[in-house]
Amino acid sequence: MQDLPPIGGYEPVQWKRNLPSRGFRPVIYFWLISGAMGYGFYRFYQGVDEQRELTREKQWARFFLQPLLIAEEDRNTARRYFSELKRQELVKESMSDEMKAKFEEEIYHDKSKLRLPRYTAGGPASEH
Amino acid sequence: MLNFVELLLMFVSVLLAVAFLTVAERKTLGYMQRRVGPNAVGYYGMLMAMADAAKLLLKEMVMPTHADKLMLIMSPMMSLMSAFLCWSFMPFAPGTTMSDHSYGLMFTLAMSSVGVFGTLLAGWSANSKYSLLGSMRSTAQLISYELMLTTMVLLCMLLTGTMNLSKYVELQESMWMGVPLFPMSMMWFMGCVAECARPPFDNVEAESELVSGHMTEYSSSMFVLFFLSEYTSMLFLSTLTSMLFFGGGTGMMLGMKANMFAFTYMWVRATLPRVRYDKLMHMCWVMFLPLLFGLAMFLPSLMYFMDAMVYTYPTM
Repeated sequence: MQDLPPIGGYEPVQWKRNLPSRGFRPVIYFWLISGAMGYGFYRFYQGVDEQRELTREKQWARFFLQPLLIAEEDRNTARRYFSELKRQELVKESMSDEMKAKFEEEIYHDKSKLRLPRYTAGGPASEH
Repeated sequence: MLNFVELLLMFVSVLLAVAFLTVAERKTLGYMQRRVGPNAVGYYGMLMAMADAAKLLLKEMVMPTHADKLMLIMSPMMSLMSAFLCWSFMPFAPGTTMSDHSYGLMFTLAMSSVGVFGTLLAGWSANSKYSLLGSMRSTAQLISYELMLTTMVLLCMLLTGTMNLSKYVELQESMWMGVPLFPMSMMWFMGCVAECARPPFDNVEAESELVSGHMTEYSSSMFVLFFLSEYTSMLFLSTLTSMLFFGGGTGMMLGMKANMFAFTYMWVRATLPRVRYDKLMHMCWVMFLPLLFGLAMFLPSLMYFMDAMVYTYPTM
């Protein structure tokens, strides 16, 4: 004889745990996070806007300064050129004749190009 | 000459930070498990790191007979070098960085990828089943999570429009990126924990299954290199977290933020049990990556929209 279920069946089994739900409802978390993200993007884009403005300002400052910077560079080149000539004069004074002949030889024979001395021997520019 | 002194200063500081991080971890875990942790060496066990280092370095180095010895020695070095090189573009303060390069973030990504080879070759060269299995696991894990972290870094780059970390930090003066990218920063943290193979994602060295993962055949100073690289990359990733999502900072501030994130690694370790390996992979490839690719489509559209707003209403 097999045991049969009681008349009317077994009592319903409680399989679900009754845990207390903690915190807010999920949808509230969703909106909280979305709100924070929205605010974050808003503030971040304010920063981006500011960076763009700064970049624009820097570019225009550069445009206006460019002639001045070029002039300064040219002035520096000219100063170096004349100081190099002067240096050669000074060097020549203390040379033997054959050395002087060698010294006065052209280094470059191509006369089609202008070569300005950007780099000269000696210390930094302030010492010239 | 002074350059080298600078480099030395930085790397020694990183090494010291790593050394004390190990003590901090043991203390933290100790208190979280209601015991005191190391407390005998120095005040409050502060010099435990030095004692550990001395012990490890003085031990005998056992070389497995059938191992590929060159590779066995090279691979921890590769790991450590990559972990250290990641630090070279870290701006500790405005203008205080080893190299203020316009592609610093890219270099950092590249360097952290190189570290995987150390793990891979270590497992292969040791000629041991445990090492091989461990390294296969860890390589798969590292590659998967690196994909995730790289995607996130690329998205951050896209938003800020710069790969220079100093510039990136400067751009966050208006808002920390962690706020607009809040869900992504949480994913980033999980990815970092997995990338460092820290618990709960430390399947790499699950003692009950694989003795010690790819580090099984390593002893004394070679093991120290692996250990250092692990903790260096952990510290690096927590610093990078504070830099990418929480505004970086100057000197002490950055250190405090980084410390906070380093602490969370230990906290997580003390709290959570290890997850199953397939679940780990599932989380990366099935949950995080599709979400990230979705974000990778969403963020450019959002930027397009925001740019349009900025140019339409310039006072926004």
